[in-house]
Amino acid sequence: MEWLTQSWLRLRALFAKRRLDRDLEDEFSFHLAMKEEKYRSAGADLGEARSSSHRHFGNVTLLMEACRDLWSFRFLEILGQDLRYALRVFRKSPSLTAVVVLSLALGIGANTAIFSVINALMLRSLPVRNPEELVQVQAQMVHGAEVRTLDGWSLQVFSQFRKQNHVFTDLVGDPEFSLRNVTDFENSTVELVSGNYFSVLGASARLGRIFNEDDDGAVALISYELWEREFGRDPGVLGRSIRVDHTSLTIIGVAPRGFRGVAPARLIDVWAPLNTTLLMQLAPILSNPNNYSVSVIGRRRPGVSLAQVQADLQVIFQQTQKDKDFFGWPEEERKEYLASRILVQPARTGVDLTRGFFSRPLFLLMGTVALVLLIACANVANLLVAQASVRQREINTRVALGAGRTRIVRQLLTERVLLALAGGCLGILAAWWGAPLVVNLMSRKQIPIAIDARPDLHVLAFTLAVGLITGILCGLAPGIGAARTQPGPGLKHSYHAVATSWVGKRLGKTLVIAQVALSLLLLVGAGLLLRTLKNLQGQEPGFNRQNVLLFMTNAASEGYKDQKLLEFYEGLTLKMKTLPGVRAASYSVVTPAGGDKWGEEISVEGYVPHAGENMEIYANSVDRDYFATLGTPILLGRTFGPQYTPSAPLATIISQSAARRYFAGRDPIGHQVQFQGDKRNFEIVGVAADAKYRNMREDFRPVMYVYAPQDRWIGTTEVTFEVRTAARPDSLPSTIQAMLRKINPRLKAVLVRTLSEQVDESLFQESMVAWLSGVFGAVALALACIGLYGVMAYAVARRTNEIGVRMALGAQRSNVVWLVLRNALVMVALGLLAGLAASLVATRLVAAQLYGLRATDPVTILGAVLLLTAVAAVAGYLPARRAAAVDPLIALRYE
Amino acid sequence: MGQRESKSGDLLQGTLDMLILKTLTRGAMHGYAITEFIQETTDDVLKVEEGALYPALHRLELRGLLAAEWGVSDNNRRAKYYRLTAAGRKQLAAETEHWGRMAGAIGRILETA
Repeated sequence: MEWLTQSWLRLRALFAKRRLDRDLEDEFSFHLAMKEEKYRSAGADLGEARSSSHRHFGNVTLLMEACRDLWSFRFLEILGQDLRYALRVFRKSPSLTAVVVLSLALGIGANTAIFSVINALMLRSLPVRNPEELVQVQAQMVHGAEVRTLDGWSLQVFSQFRKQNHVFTDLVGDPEFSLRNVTDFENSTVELVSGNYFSVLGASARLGRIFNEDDDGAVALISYELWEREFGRDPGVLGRSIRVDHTSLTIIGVAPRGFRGVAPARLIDVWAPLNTTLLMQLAPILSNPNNYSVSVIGRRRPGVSLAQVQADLQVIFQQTQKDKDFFGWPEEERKEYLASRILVQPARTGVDLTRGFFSRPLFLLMGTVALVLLIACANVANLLVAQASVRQREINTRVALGAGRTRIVRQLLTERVLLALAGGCLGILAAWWGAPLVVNLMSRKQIPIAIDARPDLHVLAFTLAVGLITGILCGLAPGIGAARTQPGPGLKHSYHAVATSWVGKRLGKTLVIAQVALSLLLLVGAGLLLRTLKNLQGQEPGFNRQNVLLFMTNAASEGYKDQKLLEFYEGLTLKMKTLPGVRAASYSVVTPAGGDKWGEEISVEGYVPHAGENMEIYANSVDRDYFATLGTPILLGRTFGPQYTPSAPLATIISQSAARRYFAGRDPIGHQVQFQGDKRNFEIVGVAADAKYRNMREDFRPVMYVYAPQDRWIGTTEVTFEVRTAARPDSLPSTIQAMLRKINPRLKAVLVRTLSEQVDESLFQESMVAWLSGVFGAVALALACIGLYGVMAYAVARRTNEIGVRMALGAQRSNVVWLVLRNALVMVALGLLAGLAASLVATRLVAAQLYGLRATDPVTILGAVLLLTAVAAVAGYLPARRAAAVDPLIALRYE
Repeated sequence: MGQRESKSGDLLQGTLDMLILKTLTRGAMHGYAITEFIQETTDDVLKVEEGALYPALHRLELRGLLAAEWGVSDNNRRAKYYRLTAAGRKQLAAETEHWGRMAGAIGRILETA
C-alpha cells in the first residue's frame, strides 16, 4: 500500500514540478527567517543574524536537490538523462553506430534464422495433446558389422502391438511413404493413417468428423489448406467424393488448420484410413506381411517408463514373429531380424524423414553463423574499444566534475544496452524474414517442406541468450575500465596517450587478427562447398541434360493394365515422335539423377565373385530409343529393337562399368546375366556408356538395362517418358496434355519437369548449403574488413600528430601510406596464418560433403587468401590515403 | 551527478524519524518548530541539523506517516505544517516499543558488565 501512496504523491509532484520547487523554497526561507528572528531577538544585528542562520542551515541548493530527488522517480529520470545522452552520442558518430548495430543485427539475425529452422524442424513439440507421452517404436537389427535402425513395421506387427500391449493407451500407424499425385488435385500428397490417428493425437475435425476406430469405408479427411485452396472453404464439401489412386473416397471431414499429424514438416492434403487402402491398388503391397513400411507411434500410459514399454513390446515381437513365413528371405537375414531389439524413443517432436536429410547441413550452417557472430562480436568490441579510448577524455572530465563511478558505468551501460537492443531487434526482424527464406531453399517441388519457421518463444529465448553472450564478448569490460580512471593523470594526458594504452592497441589488433582468421576459415569452407557444387554440376554425367522433358501419366491408376498399358506406352511414345520440334522420345522406369534406385542381385556367366562380394547391380527398364533420347552412346553391340519380343530370349544392355567389372578385357556380348531373385536369364546384347544413375554425386556404378516390352512388371508400373526437343521444351507440356486428353479424357501428365531441373534438384541440398555458406562467407569478409578499416582509421587519427612530424621532416606521401598500410598488412598476414592453421583442422568437418576435391584443395585456399588480402588491402588503403593527405601544419597544431 | 545522499547510520536515521513522529503527537508543527522543540526538550543535547531534518520530513510524508498542509504562522508567514497520520501513529507506537526493548536490553548489559 505504501508504495502506492508514494507513487501517487510522486506522480502528482511530477506534474507540478514548479509548485514543488516553490514549496521547497518557501519552506526553507521560512525556516531561515525564523532562525534569523531568533538570532536577532538574542541581540545580533541584521547581517550577522542572516549569515549565521545561513551558515547553520548549510547549502540550501543541495538540500533542495536532495528533497526534490525524494519526490521524483529518480531511477526513471536518470534513465531518461542517460538515454538522451546516448542518443546524442549516437548522433555524433552515426557511421560507428550504424556499423555496430548492423554487425550485431547480422550476427544475431543469422543465428536466429538458422536456429528458427532447426527449432521448427527438430526441437518443437508436436501441436498435439500431451506430446511428451508419445514414443516411436523401432527395431534395431545387427547386420554383420553395422547396426541398422528400422523405422518401419508390417501392418501385422502393428496390429499385434495394438492388441497385446500393456503399456500404451493406444498406438497409431502411419506408412512412411505418402502417395504423391494420385488425386485430381495438382501437386497433392495423400497420407495413409490408422483409423485412430486423429483421436489418439487429440485432434478434432474443423468440419465434419474424424475417422472412427474401424472406418473401412471409402472415406477421407482433407486438410484445411486443401479445403481453402480447392473448395473455397465451402461447408458443402462434406459428402463430396474425390478420387485417390483410382478409388473414389467420400470426404467426411476437414482437419484443423495447420494439422501435420506426427510429421511436422510434411504437407498433407488428404488422409485416408489404412483399412480403406485395402480397396486401392497398393493393397497387396501394404498387406504383405513382409512389407515393413508402417511407422508406429504409441501413447504411453501415465507412469509407464520407456524401459517398461521396451520389455513389453519385445515379448510381443518375438512371440508373433517367430512362426512367421518370411517367404524367400535368406536364412541369415531372417535370424538377424528375429534377433532385433525393440527400440523405444520419445517422439515428443514427432517423426520426420526430412530431419535425417537436413540435420547435417543445418548443423553445418549453425556452426557457420556462430562464426559469423564471433566475427561480428570482434567487430563491435573493436569499435567500442576504439570509441572508448577517444572518449576517455570526456569521461575523465566528468569524473573530475564529481561524477560517481557507478553513474558513469551506468551511462556507458545504457549506451551499450541500447546498441545491443537495436541490433537484437533488427536481428529478430531479419530472422523473421530470413528463416522462411531458408525453408524455401529447403523445399522442393516434389518434397514440399511446410514448417512455420518464424521465431517463437523458444527462439526468442535463444536469441536472448545469444544477445547476452554477445554483450559479454563485445566487452562491457572497456566500459567498466573507463570509469576506473583517476581524474588527475587522465586529464593531464591527451587522449593520444590513453588510446595507445595496452587495451586500446593490443586488444584491437588481436581482434582484427582473429577476425581475419575466422573469415578465412569461412571463405575456405564456402569455397570448398561452392567448388564441390561446380564439380558436381560440371561433370560429364553420361547423358545430355539439355532440352529433355520428363513426365509421367496416371494411366496405371486409370485402369490401364498389362498388355493394354504397354500398348499405351508404346503408342504414346510413337505419337510424341511425330510432334514438331521433337527429336526423339522414349520411356523408362528409372530416370537419371531422379533419386530412384532399382537394385538386383545378379550372377554373371564366367564371373566368380570373391567372398562376401556385393553382387547388387542397378537395373532399369527402358524402351528402344532411351539411349538415343538421353544421348548416352552405345559403345559395343546394339540397342534394343523390335526383334526382342516378350517371347524371345531376354536381352540386356550393360553399362561400361559393369562390363569392366565383370568381364575385365573380355567381350561381354552374348554372355548371360541372371537375376538371383527370380532366376531370369538375360543375354548381353550391348554395352552403353556410363551414366549417372541415382544422383550426381554417386560414382558410375554397374547398371543393366532390360528391354521394357520384355519386362514382366511393366504391365503394372508407371513409367517416365523422356522427350528430346530441338529447342527448349516450353510449350510441349500443354501439347502433351491435349494429346493425352484426346486418347482418354481422364488421362493427364503428372510430375512434368525437364531433365535439367531434375539434375538441379538432385543437387539441391549441395547448392543450398554452398550458397548459404557463400553468403555467410561474404558477410564475414565484409565484417572483417569493416573491423580492419575501423582499427586503421582510429590508428591514423591517433597518429595524426606523429604523421605531421614525419611529413614536416620530409617524409613522402608514399612513405606515409606504406607506414600505415604495413601495419594493416601485418595484421592481415598474422590473421591469414592463424586462419590457415584453423582451416586445415576445421575443413575436415566438411570433407564428407566434398566432391572432386580434397579439404586441403590448394586452389580454394589460395583463392580465399587472395580474395581476403585484396579486400583487406583496400580496407587498409583508405585510412592510409587519409593519413597521407594530412597537412603537416594542421597536424602539428592538432592537440 | 555524484552521490547526493549522505548515508547516515540506520540507527540515527530511524531515531530522528521517531523523534519527529513523537514531537508531532503534540499537534501540527512546521519544521522550524520541530527543531526548536527537540532542542529545548533535550536541553540542547540533541541538535537537529536542517540538512537531515527536511529530507526526513519529506520521506515521512512520502511514506504517508505524515500529512502536510500550508498554513499561516504566528508571525503571518506562509509555512508548511506537518501532522501525524493514523499510519504515523501506528508506526510511532511500534518504534517506541522497539526502542524501549532495545534500551532495556542495552541497559541490562551495561549494568552487568
